Amino acid sequence: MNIAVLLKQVPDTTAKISVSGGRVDENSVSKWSMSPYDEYALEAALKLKEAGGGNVVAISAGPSRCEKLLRDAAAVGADDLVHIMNDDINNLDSTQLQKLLAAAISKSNSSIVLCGKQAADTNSGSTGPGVAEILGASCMTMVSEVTKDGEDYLATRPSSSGHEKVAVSAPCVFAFDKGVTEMRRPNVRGIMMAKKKEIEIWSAADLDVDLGNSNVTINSHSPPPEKPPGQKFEGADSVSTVVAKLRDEANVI
Amino acid sequence: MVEYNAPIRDYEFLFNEMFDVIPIVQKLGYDFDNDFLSMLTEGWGEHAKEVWLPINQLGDKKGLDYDDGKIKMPEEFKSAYSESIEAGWLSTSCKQEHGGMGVPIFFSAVTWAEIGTSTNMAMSVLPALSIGVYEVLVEHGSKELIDYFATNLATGKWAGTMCLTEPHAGTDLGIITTKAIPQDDGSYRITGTKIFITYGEHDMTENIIHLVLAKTPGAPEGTKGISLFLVPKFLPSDWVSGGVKDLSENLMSDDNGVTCSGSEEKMGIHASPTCVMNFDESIGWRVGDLHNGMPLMFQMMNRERLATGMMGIGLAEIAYQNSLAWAKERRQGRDLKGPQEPNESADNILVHPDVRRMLLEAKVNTEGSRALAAWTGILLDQMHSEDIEEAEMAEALVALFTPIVKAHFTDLGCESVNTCMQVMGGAGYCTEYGVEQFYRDVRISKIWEGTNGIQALDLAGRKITHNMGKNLRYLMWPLTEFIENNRTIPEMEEFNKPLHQGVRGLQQLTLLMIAEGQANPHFLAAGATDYCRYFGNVLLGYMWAKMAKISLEKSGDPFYDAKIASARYFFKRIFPETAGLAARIQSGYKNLMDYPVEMM
Repeated sequence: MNIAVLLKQVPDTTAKISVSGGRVDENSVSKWSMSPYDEYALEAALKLKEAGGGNVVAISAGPSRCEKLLRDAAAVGADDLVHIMNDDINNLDSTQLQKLLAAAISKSNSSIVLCGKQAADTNSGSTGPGVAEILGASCMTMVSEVTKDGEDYLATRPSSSGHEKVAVSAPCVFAFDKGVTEMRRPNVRGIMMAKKKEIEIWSAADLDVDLGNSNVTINSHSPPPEKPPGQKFEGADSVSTVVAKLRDEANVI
Repeated sequence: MVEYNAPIRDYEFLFNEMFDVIPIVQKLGYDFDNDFLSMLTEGWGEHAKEVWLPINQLGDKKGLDYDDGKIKMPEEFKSAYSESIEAGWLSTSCKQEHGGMGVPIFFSAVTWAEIGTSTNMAMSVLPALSIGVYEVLVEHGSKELIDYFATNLATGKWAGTMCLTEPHAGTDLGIITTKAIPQDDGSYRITGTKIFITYGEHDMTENIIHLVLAKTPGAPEGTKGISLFLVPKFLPSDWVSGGVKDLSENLMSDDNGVTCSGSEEKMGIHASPTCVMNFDESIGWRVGDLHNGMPLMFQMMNRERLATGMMGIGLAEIAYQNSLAWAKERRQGRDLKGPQEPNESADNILVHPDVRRMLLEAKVNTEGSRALAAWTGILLDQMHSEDIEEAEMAEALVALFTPIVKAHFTDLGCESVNTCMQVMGGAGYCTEYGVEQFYRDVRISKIWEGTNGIQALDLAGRKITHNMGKNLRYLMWPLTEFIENNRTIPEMEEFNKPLHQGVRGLQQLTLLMIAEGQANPHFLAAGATDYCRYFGNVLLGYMWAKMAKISLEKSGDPFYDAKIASARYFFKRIFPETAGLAARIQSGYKNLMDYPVEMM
C-alpha cells in the first residue's frame, strides 16, 4: 500500500497579494509555493517510505501551474505524481474538493494520507478531517511526527501535559502541524529525475466524481486592514509605559 | 549574522521575460523548461545558503593550515564540499556521460557562479577551476586522457588547477622557463616552478589535476612555443586500467614529483589556497597540439574571466543585501525636510539622500551587470549551435564581452562593496557584520585572470578590431535596431535618448582609438581603461533600457516599478560619467608619458 500526501500550491509568503474587482488577482502573484504545513507532511511521508513502507504518492488539485509543485515534491523523493486538473479550484467548496481528493487517494491505492493541518492561504483546516470522513478513515490532527510500529502507526501530537504518542491503524489521515524535521533540500539528481517523471492527470470524470453544486458562494475578497505602525520604546524610563500597554491594550500580561 | 537570499526573482525576470532562454536552449537540443530552470535556481540558492554561507566567515577566520608542503583545509569546508558533490551541485554543466547533469552552460556560468560566490567565494573557486580543466580536456584531450580524467573532474571527486604564472613571468607568459621533455612512451617530464596557483594543493579531493604551460626543447621563442600539459598530483595505481597505453612502468607510483613549497598570506579569501607549485620531472601528457598551448589555456582563462566577473556581482549582491538590512534598522538624524517619524528618537537613515545614493548605486550596477551576464551566459550555449551564423554571432559577442564582464563587473563589484560598507558606518568596518570580509574577498577579482588593465588593453587593442570588426558589428546591429524601434515611444525617451547618445559616443571613441592607436600605441594604452568603462556603461545602458521597456508594459507591480526606477537612476546618475570618460580618453597620452619619471 502507498502513502498519499496532499499538497496545495499557495501564493508564496513573500508574494504580494492584490485584490482587484473583489477577487484576489492570481495573475499578480509572482511566486507560488508549497503550503508550509504540507512540506512537513511530505517530509514525514518520505521518512515513512524510507522506513520501509510503499511509494509516496503526491496529490495536488488545481490548475496547470500545480505541475511545478508536484515536480518539487518529486525532486525530494515523491515516487508518483497525481494532478487533479481543475482550473476553477477556488470556486469549489471544501466538500467538493475533498471528494476529488478522496477519490484520487482511493485510486492511488494509498492506505494512509498525510497533509498539512491547514493551507497558508485559506487556513480553513477542513481538508484532512473532510477527506478522512469520506474515506471512512481515522483522522489525527496537529501531528508533528509519524512512525511505523509494526502494522500500526505511532503519531506524536500535543496533549495537556506536553506531547502524547498515539497508535493508530490504517486507514488514517494525519494532518500535520509543524513537524520535527524541515523538508529536505532537493539535489540536482532529484531535480533531473523529477523533470522526467510522468504526472498522472485526472479530471473529476476520470475519478468518477459527481461534484454537484457548490454550497458556498464567495461574494468578494478584501485585503486585510493595514496594520497600525509599531511603537518603539527605549530606555528604563519607558518600562512602566510598556507594561501598561501590554496589560491594558494588548492584553498579553 | 550575515543574511542572504538568492536573487531568484531577478533571474526569473532575466531568463524568462528578457531573454526568453527556453526556446533558445531547446533549439540547441537541451531538454529544458521553465519549471526545471526554476527548480535548479531555487535548489542551488537553498543549498548554497544552507551549506556554504554558514562556513564563509569561519573560513575567513580559520584559514588553511600549511605544514611541510601539505595544506589542510578547515574540516567544515571538506564536509560542505562533499555534501555539494553528493547533491550534484558541482557538475551541472558537465556531460551526463561523465557523471555531470548536462544542464545548459548559462546556468553554471551565471546563476551558479553568482550564488556560489555570494555565499562562499573561497569555496566557489575550486569547482570553477575543476570545470574549466574538464572543459579543456574534453574538447582537446586524447581519448585516453578523457576516459581517465574527465569523469572524476566532472563530478568533483578530483580537482583542477591552471598553472601559468612563474616567478619572473606573469602577464608576459612568453618568457616562462618550465620545461617539458618528451619521453619514448608519449608522455612528458615536466620541470619548473609555478606561483599564485589557486587550490594548487589541498586535501578537499583525493587528487589534483594541473594544467601546466611549459616549453618543449627547441620550441619557438615567446608564446608561440608554449604547449599545454596535464599533470596529476598523484599517478593513480590503477592507471593501466585507465586505458593509456605503454605507460605501466612509470605509473604504479603515487608520487609524481608535484610539491607545494609555500602558501601565500593574503588580504582575503583566506580559505582559498594560493600556492607555489614545483614540478620535478613530473609525468604529464600533452593536451592539444604541440606549441598550441596558449589558445587552449586561454579557452579556460576566458571562462575563468567570466567567472571572475560574476564574483563582482556576487559579492556586491550579498554586501547590498546586508547593508540594506542594516540601514532599515538604523536611525540617525532627521529628514532634512522635517522629521518623518517624530515619535522616534531619530528617522531611519533611508530618509537621507546620500544613503539612498550609495545603496542604489550598488543595486543598480549589480542588477545591470546581472542582465549582461545573463545574456553572455546564453551566448556561451549558442556558441555550440549547429547554425553557423548563430554560433559565429555568439562567439563574436562572447569575445567582445569577456574583457568587459571581467573588468567592468569587478570594478563595479569592488566599488559597490566599498559603498555598502560606507552605508553601515563603523559597523561596516567591524567583522561581525560580514561586509568587511566581502570587501577583502572581492578585491582580488580586479587582479586575477589578467588584471583589469590587461582586460582593457585586450578590448581596445584586440577585440574591437578583431575579425575585421565583426565582433562590434554583431553588437551594433541589435543595439541600433533597439534604439530605432523605441525612438517614437514617449515613455522610452528618457532611456532611449541617452543610450543613443552613448552609442554614438562609443562609435566616435572607437574610431579615435583605432586611428590614433595605430599611429601611437601609447594613445590606445593610455585610454584603454576609460574606454573599457565607457563600453561597459553603454552595455549596461542597453540592458537597463531593455529592462525598462519590459517593465513599462507591466507597471503597477512593485517589481517592475522598481526596475523602471532603477533604469531612471542608471541613466540620470551613473551613465553621465561617460562624458568624463570620453574627455579623459581624448586627452591622449602625453599627460602620462611626458610626466618626468624621476619625479614620480
